[in-house]
Amino acid sequence: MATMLNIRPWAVAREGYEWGVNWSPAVGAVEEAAMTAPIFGVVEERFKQIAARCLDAARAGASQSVAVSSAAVGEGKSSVAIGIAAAAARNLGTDVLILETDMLRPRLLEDFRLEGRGGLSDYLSSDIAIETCIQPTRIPNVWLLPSGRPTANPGPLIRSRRFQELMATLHEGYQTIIIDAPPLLTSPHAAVIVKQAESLVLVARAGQTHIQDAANALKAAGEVPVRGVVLNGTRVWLPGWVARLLGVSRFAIE
Amino acid sequence: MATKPLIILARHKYLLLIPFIVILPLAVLLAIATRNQDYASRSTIWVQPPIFLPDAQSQGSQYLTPAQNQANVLNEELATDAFAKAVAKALTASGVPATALGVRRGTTVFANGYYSLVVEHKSASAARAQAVVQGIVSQYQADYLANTTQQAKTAANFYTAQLTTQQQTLQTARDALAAYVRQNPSSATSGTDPQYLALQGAVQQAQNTYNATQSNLYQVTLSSGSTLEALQQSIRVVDPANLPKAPVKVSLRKQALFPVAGLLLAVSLSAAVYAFLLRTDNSIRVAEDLQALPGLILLGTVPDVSAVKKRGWPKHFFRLAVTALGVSLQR
Repeated sequence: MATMLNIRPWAVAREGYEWGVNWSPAVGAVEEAAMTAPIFGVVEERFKQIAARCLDAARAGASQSVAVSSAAVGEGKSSVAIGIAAAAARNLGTDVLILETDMLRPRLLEDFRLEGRGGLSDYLSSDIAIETCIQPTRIPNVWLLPSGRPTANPGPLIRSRRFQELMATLHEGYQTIIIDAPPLLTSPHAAVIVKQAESLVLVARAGQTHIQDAANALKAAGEVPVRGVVLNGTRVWLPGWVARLLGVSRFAIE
Repeated sequence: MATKPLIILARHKYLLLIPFIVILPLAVLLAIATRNQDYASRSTIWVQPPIFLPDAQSQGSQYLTPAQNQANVLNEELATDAFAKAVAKALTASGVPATALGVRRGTTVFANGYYSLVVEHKSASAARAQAVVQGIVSQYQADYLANTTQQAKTAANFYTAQLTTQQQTLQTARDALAAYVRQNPSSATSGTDPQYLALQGAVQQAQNTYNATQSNLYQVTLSSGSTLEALQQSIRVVDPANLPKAPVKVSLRKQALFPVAGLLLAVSLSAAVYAFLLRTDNSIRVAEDLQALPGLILLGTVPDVSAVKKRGWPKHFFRLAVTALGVSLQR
């Protein structure tokens, strides 16, 4: 069951499968079971809304970047980053790059079921070509730059000039960059990474993230404009008949 | 409508149900376990103070009926160790082991009319209930008679002593009158001699006092001696202690006491836990919670994929779980 909870079904679509159009591809059983569940239709629509709100559609043609972070680990920032990227690729019809910057806990390669060919840490610490590191995912128009080999001390790499130059390079190549940033309260380098983005989306997990932690995370982010908060892992707590009895919408209180 | 309290209620519903799940069955079990099958024996006593006794000797308040007065007396006696131990001792001697506490517990005394007094005792054994009632009534009667007789004797001694003094006073007054008449023979015939009249008045007063004391002495002598049977009639057992054939029915109110108390306790505990959760939960659950962060907007919500509970979905998720487990094992 833990495996099921940890997967991000919208990240594992395969070739021949178009994200947002066909949710029941005749591919792997996991994907089929996951994608045919009605919940993913809801998830897809939610991410489309979120992407529309946090990305500037009027700026189509110009590059824009959004950092996705959270206060602590396990609040779903990587899931939300993937969801926003997939929805943005669908909404805007442009190439979207997911930049994984959490060098302590890299996992997007696994989520996308991709082979490791080097990543951000490898690029910043060696002469490997960035084109080698960036890989297409099975989601159309979504590309991934993984964080690379786990690094115990990513600070010098993140603060290096090479990283800033890389960001400029990426902006030239991709119209939308979603930065999957480390948690703001637990990573000392998160603020530096977030500053590389034009705006920040804070992910909070419903029932887990405390208000004060969210406020502290926003303080830690510094002066980066905050687009808003994505409340992840919400649940519809009330049975339908109770909601009708109380005169409230079930989805209003999810 | 405030949604957070609802969400916390729904989120912690099982936690809030625990007090009910734990306490209510315990309360019902306790109610069943403590449902004693008691036998009740009772005796009715007719309490009518003897009319020949002076008012001072009729016990109790004049504002209560004789039965109420005697119920108070008997209840007070039951509260004393001396009385309860005496009853217990008598019972033990007659083959019914008893203690003072056992005599007190389960015994009820109440007035059932103007003269009617009821003594009731509940016990797990019918014979024991009967024996205890009999013991209490016997001890009560004995105490009453002993007290009344003792009081009468004390009063008789008092009146006898007074009578002696008053007799001397009367004799002195008579002697003084006789001496005055001897000295002044005409004073007795004239009827106007003030000195004669004063001495005669003193004799009369002494005589009256003497007569009254003699009357009181007569009354208490009656009550302490020759009227013992009459005294016994004043505390008369109308209905002797019966041997109950069936246990008394347990009242519905008593049976419901524990479950109701358990319910109240469970409600209180749940309410306390709920209040605590409501007070301490400062996590973000709904968009309203973001109002604590000024200027921050909610971009959207992402449902918890692992917690879908809509009809028909669990089948998909069961398949998903199984296949995902299979895939992970293959790796």
